[in-house]
Amino acid sequence: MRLGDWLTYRIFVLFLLFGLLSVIFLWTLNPVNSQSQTAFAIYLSIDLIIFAMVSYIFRVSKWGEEVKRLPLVAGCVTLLILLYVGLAF
Amino acid sequence: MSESEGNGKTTGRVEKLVGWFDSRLGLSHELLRPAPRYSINPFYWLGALAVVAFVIQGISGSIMLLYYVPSPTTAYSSTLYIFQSVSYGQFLETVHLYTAYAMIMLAFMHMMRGFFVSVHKKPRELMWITGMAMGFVTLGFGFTGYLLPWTVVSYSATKVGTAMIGALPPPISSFIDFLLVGTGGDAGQLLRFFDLHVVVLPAVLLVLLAVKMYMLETHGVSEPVTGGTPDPKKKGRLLPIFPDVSFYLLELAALFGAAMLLISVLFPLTLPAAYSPAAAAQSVPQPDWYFLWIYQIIKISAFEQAGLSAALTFVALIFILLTILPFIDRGETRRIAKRPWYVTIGLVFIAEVIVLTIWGHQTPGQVIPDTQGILVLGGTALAVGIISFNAYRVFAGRRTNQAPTPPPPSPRSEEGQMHSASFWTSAIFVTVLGLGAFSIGGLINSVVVMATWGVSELGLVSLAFSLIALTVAVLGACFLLYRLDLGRGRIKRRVKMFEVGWNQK
Repeated sequence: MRLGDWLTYRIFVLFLLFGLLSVIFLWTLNPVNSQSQTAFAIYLSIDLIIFAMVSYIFRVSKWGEEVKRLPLVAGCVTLLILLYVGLAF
Repeated sequence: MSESEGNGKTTGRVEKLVGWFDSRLGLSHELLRPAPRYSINPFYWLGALAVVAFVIQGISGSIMLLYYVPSPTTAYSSTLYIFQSVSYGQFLETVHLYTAYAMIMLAFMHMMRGFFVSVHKKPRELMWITGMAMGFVTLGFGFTGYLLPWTVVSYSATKVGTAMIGALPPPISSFIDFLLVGTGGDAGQLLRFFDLHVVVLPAVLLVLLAVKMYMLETHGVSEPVTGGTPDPKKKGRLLPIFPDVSFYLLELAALFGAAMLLISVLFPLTLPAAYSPAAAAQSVPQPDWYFLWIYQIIKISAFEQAGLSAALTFVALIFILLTILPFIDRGETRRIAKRPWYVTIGLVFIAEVIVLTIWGHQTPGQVIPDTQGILVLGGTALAVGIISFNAYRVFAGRRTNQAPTPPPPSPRSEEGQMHSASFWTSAIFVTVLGLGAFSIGGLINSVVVMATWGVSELGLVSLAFSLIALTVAVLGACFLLYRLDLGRGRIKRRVKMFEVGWNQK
């Protein structure tokens, strides 16, 4: 793991926490309102991306291969953008 | 009885129960064979992603089924009710539509990838045919599902489709007519489409999927086409389906789901007007985008005159050829580098489908003159064919692992030879740069002009010139790559045309 166990596992935990918060937030939305449906789609996509990244770290670590920097950085940037967009709704 | 004896008895009972289920269901045996490491690549899982799209559609469709009423008087109002009043109804409808589009797109990409890497060859011929049948069922999903909202757009498009079916030879047309239309008028037709969409087609697709999975288990994942057997310790090592490959698939599915959600946010669905005879009379019938390329072929003047059946025979021929491809392309090699004809045909097919789809979108309801048809379709085929063959000649030489062939010695002085070579290379570089900029600018310009003002002769001529310029630019790029390799002595297949100024006597 080139990124180092320390960093990778903290990102892992952060992702899980962030995902959990996002799922809790989903339950607070008004399901009929059009804007809430947009927010729902954005936060659900955030959860799915988090799941994919957690799964990636788990899988690659299990295979004894390197956790590559690019997917993690790309995922984090996408998550930040989505979070920013999601806050607008 | 002591506590440990009691625990031992309980464990024994649990083991016995598990053993009973295991002996009946085979739980401890591997359900699916392990996948090789080289298959951990999204291109290997395009078909699996199409299945993921099917599952998402199944879930979203099942929820919508609770509210939808398949009758001409209530179909639109129930769709509108889902859209406006059901919790996350708009979200469900949007996701259902976009995953349907994605499923069709993924099925097409899966087929074309299979075509290029020759997965249809022995012993996977029947897998290919089963996959083609699944593709037809996927198109059937699109066709039958499009009518269900009962909007003016969907009704008109379906009428175009059913009219096309009527032009097929009598035994086929009467069977499909019975299957799709029946004798119950609009109400009967809607009910049949609904039944096909939610019962018959999903059942057929699941059976075909089971058959294909069985054959996949028998033959395994196809080997990479790069040549050579992968190292069993690295790329060729086997990974168990659970949890290794399953997690990879879940990652892909999650990213696919996220992409679908974001697309549905960016392009939210708006429901068109309800169908009424008056509204239908004012609208131009146009099928959904995945049938547009077929519709555009039918609109070409020559086919209009020869009749709908001639056009449909032509389209059917394309599908038949694709289906029986394993019995046409019987060569043993699977390497892309050694199949220039098939790869070029595949590229031309993709380019034609894209061009026809865009063109069809831009010219709703217009009959296409023969000259335009020949210019656009012939020009596209010619441009893609030339680019493909020349790229082939260059890259086939680059990808060889054999010992480099040095360029033959020249009687000219080394300095003079270098001067001439660099003059030609520089000249071609400048031409490529200029033509590349011109062609990209021209392409954008002609597409924007035609999108804004409609298709015109001037726009088409501009498009044709841009395509020619692009072809020359790509040829020039191939030339530059060839020259670079020539300088490094890495050329196997010589292209005399590209050696101008290099080795003149």
